[in-house]
Amino acid sequence: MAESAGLSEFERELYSRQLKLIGEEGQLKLKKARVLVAGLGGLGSAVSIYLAAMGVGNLYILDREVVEVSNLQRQVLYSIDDLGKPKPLAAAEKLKKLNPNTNVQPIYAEVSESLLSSIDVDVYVDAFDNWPARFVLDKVAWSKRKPLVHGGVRGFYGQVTVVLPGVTPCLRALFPITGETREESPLQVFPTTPGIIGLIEALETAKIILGMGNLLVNKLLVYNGLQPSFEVIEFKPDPKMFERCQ
Amino acid sequence: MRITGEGERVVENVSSVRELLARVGLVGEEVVVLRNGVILTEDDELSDGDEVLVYVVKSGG
Repeated sequence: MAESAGLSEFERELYSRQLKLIGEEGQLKLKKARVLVAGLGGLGSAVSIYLAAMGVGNLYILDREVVEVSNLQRQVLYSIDDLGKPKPLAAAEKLKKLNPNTNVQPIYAEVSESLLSSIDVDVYVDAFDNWPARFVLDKVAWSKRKPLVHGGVRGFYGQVTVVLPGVTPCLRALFPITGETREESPLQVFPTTPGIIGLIEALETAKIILGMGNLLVNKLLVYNGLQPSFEVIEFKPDPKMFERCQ
Repeated sequence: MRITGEGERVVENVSSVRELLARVGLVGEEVVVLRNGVILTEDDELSDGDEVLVYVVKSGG
């Protein structure tokens, strides 16, 4: 079999279990893609592992924290040996071993508009754990007219939606009631929850890159791990919602 | 009114989303409130007979 231009023999073997699903053209789309994973906790661990594994060629991974003991319960990128290390650096090491073909750019910094604006990507993945950071990411993604895949978790519950400029309102308009900033006890989250939600985020990201399937646009996928159930809530964007996105 | 995952309940005599959230103890929570698929803000008014869906958004990562 002739070797395809653009995929090495190693890559053809590495992705052999998905090449018939997405074709070599699809694999090359993943290889060219640039994705920012914002947040490297429970969600970000799951998202980035699978994006690297499937062959996303350029991963920018952002977090401001170091690895702590309590992280190991659900942040599957890290191990005991990583305690005290900046998460982006520890994560990059793992991801590069998982897939040496993925260019991983670790960013150990606080999120800011200027930082995010300096990076050009095709898809933004929200794996943050707080609304202020999420809305900074939302603002930048919106201004660059790029898709944003949002995920959030707590306990046994979570949600995913895709913000697509031109099709959906921004995240700030989708979640206009976000409560007050308040001190609260450490987040309680069962480890499988960010795993499941993170993988759905990875899948939506892949679908955006590949141009396959239907996206969670103007839809909120709601997960209840105890029932268990997935429910898709559809919403109709009202023109006034877009005013919140300016 | 339906709160996802927690069944349905009837709430009477509320004229706004803000009042509704206060009545059901969701003030200060992150929520999405929909009426006929349209996302509402706290300032939006409600009328008798409105069917509203409330989803408590999860913010962790």
